[in-house]
Amino acid sequence: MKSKANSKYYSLIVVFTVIFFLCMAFCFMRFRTLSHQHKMRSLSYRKETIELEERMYGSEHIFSSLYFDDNYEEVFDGYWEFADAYLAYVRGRFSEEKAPYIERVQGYLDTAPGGEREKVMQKYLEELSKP
Amino acid sequence: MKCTNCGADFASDQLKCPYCGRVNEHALKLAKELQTYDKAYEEKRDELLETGTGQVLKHLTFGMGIVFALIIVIAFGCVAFYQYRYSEHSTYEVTGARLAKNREMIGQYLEEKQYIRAYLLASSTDPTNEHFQYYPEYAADLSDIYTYSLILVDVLQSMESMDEGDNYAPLRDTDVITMQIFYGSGNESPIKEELTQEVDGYLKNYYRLTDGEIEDLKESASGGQFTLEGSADIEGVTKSRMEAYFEK
Repeated sequence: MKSKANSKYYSLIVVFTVIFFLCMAFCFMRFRTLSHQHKMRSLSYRKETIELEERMYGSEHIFSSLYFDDNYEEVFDGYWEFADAYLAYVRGRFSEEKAPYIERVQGYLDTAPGGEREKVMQKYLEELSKP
Repeated sequence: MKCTNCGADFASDQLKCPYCGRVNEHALKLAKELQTYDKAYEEKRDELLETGTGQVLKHLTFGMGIVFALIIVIAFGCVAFYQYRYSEHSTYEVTGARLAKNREMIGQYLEEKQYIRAYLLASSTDPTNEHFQYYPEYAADLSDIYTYSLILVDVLQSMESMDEGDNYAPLRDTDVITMQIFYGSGNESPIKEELTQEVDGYLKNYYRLTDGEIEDLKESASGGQFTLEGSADIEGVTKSRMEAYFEK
């Protein structure tokens, strides 16, 4: 009887230990998943990603990067200014009346920070301005 | 002690007289009593050990149970908090001052005609996943902007394919359904009007639909039949028109 009582305690200790480690494993995996998601959606990670994509694929892909990665924050203001001008170019390209879109693209170039984006937008302006 | 038989002196703990061999009854009795006592002692010792071990195990089990339970509760609490704060569909972003700030930014973006940016902010922070329940004042416009963004992305990808010299990416059946949803939303806000003009422009100037065909598309129900030149092969018809126009 006494051996039975002790063996009951031994069993309980084993069960508690197994449950404990299972719960800890679950918490660890969940925490790791959440951490990974948080890192992928962090502002710094997304900013690095958009900079990398711009270097790899060119300024033409800025809008795609902004859209697919949900980059709406203020830190992406410069990219959105380019994207707005780019969309104006796209609308103007397939529009009969191009003047408003040329003006919009020119407006971006007047305040553009220079660099690769300005060159790309200049190219778009020339294309829109062709008769 | 003296032997009862021969009277010789010998140690009282000896079982026999060393001289005549007579059994020492007293020592024998004591030896038997000692044996009985030893046996009883061992049994009692084992019993006490067993009981003591049981007590220790009981306390250990109880203590482990409490400690493990406490650690598990704390761990789950931390995970639950982290999930609330950092998960993809958390309500954290739509409480208190953050919700007010989100609404303000959405209004600002819409005013500045950064429609897609406004939609991205709303969809990223809305845990109801595209229903915009937390932004009811903008829900209709945001829903239209979402559908419009799908159309725009398709146009951009198609245009990119065309510019790279690949095959033309014409209007597909899924694009038609998206446009039917967009046109049929029932929203009549100035933003919807502006977006409608833009989508009309893409259909006319890029996919080469006529004004009459665009009107037919607007009037067709979502998922309903839409034909071009009497054919349900929208993709084939638009592709041939695009090729004819852009390769001039």
